Amino acid sequence: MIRRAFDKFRAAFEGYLLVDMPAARLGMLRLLTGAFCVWHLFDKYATYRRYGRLSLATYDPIGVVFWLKKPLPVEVHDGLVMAACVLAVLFAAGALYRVTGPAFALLMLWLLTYRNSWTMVYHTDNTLALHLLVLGFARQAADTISVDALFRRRPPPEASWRFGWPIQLMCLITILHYFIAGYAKVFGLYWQGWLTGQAIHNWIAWDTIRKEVLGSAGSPVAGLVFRLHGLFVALSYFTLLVEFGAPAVLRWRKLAPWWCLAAFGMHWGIYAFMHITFPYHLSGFIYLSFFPLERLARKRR
Amino acid sequence: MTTPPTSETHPQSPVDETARRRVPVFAALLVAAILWPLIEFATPIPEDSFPLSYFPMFSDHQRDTDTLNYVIAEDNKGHRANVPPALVTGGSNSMNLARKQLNKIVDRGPDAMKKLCRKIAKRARRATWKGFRPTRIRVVTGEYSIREYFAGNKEPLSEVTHVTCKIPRRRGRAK
Repeated sequence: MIRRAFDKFRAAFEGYLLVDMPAARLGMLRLLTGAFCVWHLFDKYATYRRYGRLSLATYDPIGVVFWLKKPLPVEVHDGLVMAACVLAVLFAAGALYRVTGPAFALLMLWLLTYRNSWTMVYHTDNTLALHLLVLGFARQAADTISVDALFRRRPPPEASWRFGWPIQLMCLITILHYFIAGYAKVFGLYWQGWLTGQAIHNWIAWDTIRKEVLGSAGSPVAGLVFRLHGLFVALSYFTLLVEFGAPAVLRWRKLAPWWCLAAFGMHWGIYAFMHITFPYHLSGFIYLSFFPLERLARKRR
Repeated sequence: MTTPPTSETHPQSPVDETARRRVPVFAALLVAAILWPLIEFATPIPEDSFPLSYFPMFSDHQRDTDTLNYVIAEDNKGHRANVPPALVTGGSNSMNLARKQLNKIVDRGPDAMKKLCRKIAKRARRATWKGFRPTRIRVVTGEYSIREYFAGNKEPLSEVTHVTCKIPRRRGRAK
């Protein structure tokens, strides 16, 4: 019986993963995700470099950086940040992708983890790091809409599962992350608070107080809505619906645009109430794998 | 780790078949790795990591009153201002970074706090302040109440000063 259940699960998993998709969809996904990284790295260039220069008191190595008991020499760290900027451009362009794809994915994993080793562990870039690992190690992501494809001079590849699985896996990673975030709320220490709206109310309040007391600017919205208890109940259930509802997208693909819109709105809500920026989410790039991006490529032709 | 299929594989070739079998294994391992941190909910002292996280944000209990470590700049007339994160961290304007640094320093004790206080005082000398010129820096722990704070009383319920240090005087500028 266990064997039969396992076979059924395996068939369903393979059925989900190995879907034929056009090469252009994966190519566009690589191009756009890469473009986001180029923007992100150039925009935060000074911030990334600064992490090599902060007080040792805040350095707590985690993840792939765990073995590095002392921070990297500043020159080495600066070199890695610069290398990431160059590799991001090559990754987006799909140039020498067999090398630049994995190299960029691994370097970004290093830089993002190193950054989190200096601060509190942020949860803004987890999905980006894993998306890049999938894209970077899927060499076929540069089979079209890339510099490599220009030099190969082969006819455009046909739709295949080879182009489908990285996209499906990226969707799955996104969904799992939302689901875990929901699970953490309901199975965490403050589950009652999430059912009554008190948790979100207190979080927004404390976030504002911490920011103001530590000499930073809190959200002006927090003070205005502080007494609207009904609003916090609604926000609480909306958040739980988005996070626990995420796996439904795997079963009913037509829900994907609506779910993406709801999750996108949730992040803009968090930004309005708490000034917390999730760049990959707020820009909408995190949700690209759910959409038929090959249409963008067709329109350009 | 299983190798994902390459773009060189032919759709009908045995190599392609092998790759087709490997992809679900690779994906299943990745899914297992993403779900693995959920085990932290069953451990007494959970530890977060990156990028494999149990997403503890918003799952901690947020009380109505709580204590915060922060830094104050003040003058002899009683004017005071909360010191911005950049002066605490020495560059970064991240509130969370300043908070992490302060919490660690306060835990380490008076020597570490004095050292940080002096560094902040030096930075404060060069900073621009609105409406007053601070003469000293205090590293403090204050207790705040959500209700009091949003009712308009932004003062702490209580405040304990750990260390105080003078801001070095500015040297006279050449005319």
